[in-house]
Amino acid sequence: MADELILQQSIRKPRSLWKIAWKRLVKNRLALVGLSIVLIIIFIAIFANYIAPYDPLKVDLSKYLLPPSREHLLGTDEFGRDILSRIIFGARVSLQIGFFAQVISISLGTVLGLLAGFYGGWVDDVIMRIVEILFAFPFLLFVIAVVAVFGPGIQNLYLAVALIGWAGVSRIVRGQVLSLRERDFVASARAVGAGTLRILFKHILPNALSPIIIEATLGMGGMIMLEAGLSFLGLGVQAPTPSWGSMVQAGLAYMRSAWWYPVFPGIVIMIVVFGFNLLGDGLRDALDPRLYI
Amino acid sequence: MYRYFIRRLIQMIPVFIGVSLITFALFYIAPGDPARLIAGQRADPEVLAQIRKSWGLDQPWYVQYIKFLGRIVRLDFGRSFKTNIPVLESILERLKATAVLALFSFIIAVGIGVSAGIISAVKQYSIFDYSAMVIALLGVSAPVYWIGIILLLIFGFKLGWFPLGGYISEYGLKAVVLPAIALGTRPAAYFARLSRSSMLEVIRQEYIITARAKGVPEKLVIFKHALRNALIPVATYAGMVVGDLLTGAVLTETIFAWPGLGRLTVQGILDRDLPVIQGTVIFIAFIYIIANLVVDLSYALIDPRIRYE
Repeated sequence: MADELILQQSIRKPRSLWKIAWKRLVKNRLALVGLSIVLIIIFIAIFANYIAPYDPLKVDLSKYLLPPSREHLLGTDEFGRDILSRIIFGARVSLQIGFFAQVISISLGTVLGLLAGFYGGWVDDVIMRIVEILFAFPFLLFVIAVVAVFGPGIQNLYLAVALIGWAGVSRIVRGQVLSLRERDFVASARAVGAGTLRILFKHILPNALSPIIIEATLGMGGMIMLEAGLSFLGLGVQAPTPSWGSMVQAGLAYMRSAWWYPVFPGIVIMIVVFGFNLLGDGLRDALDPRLYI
Repeated sequence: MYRYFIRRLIQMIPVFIGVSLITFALFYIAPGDPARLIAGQRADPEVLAQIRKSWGLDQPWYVQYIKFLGRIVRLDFGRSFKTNIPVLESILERLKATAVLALFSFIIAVGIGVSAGIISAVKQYSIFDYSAMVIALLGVSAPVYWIGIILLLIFGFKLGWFPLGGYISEYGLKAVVLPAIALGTRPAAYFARLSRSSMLEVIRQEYIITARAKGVPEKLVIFKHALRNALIPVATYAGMVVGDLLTGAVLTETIFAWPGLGRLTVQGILDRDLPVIQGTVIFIAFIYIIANLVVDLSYALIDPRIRYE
């Protein structure tokens, strides 16, 4: 009986961490809702040209602030532009900016975290002191300051994110590296003569991926919110490019006569950020249950 | 405790210097000629030269930085390019309004957030738990200015219960209700999630099982044994909330025409008034650092394990 059991166990196919995580993820209903929201919004952003019923930039003053109707499901704005179409094209802007801002902060944070954790000593000291100082600035405030000083626009938003956004990620990666670098597989890699870069990117990084993926997903919602907040203050995407944040801001002036104008773009921001947060939470549960907070 | 206090204070010094250096650098490398910003685009070269001299703009960067550091230690943030009023004066004038707003938001956030989190944990997997957590996640996901607009539309415009914006001096305490709810939603959601997970962890500890096994009534187990320990990690978040509230104020005050620091910052941005932007940013960062220090110290008071590390 015991022999059979051992035999069965040894025959069972090895399962990768990713497969186990995927199975856990699809069992989690809330995570699936998040995944669907994210996939739908990506689809909308890619095929905006085909999905949007109208040209998002076409001005038609005869359609000034029309309430939601069959022709214009979410109404029109003060230039007679279709709000639904603008929201659909806004998805492109938001996702693009969110994605690139995340790429910048995650890659910088990962590299600096790897270096700090692996080398320790003064490298670690310098990087972690900088992180500490950056943590003293509330994130949005810092980004506002950078964009206010360097001028509105997306490049400066990226600049601000590059300057400060990496701090949180680098701390997480550093923590991972600190525990990984003492493991046997790192010692064996070193023993067979692997170089530092190879050890860092080939052996340590893949093992530190789960928290990076979780952080990237959760942070995506934060970046979308950041872009919307900046655009709301008039510091982000500039007119006439449709952006959810600037639509809410423009709608604010017409709130009394046209409630749909600021309300709908805001709902979309909330749903999309909600989707990324649900997916991020789900990924956290699936990839590493210990990290659950 | 005393030694811990001193150590934490000394640790603050490099952070303060770092914050001042970054803020200085940001404005030092800013595009455009500050002298022209002060005097206007069409100013005479002589006037520009005079301004450069009187503002110290003709000095090398490190001299400018040391002077800058000396000024901010004395809380002298310079004068507004636009109004010529000392920036500190404007900040102090607006500080009260932001403090009132932040205080009410904080009370709402802790009151609603922590109680929802505790009930969720005690009734884990109940309908209350699920709905509270979904609402909390929606609360984290909704932009604060949009929540403000929705509240204004429903309770201000449609029902007429609250003013559509303005300060306590005009409308009394009614004026603070909507902005405080808008600003408090996000921290409330965080508090709910955090206190739930913290409470869940504590409930599974052995001393709770022991208390139950001894026959201690459930209410006493929750409120006396579990709650106190569960609230310790929640307290650390309080420091971060200050940062959330201060930056949230920038957006909330814009919506509700609230005469606080946030609106001062936004006005500074619109006017490209560098001393105002610099002053408010550095002031808010300092408040944030001090708030985190206070939380750290009180944390050490609540939990003796911290200070012996």
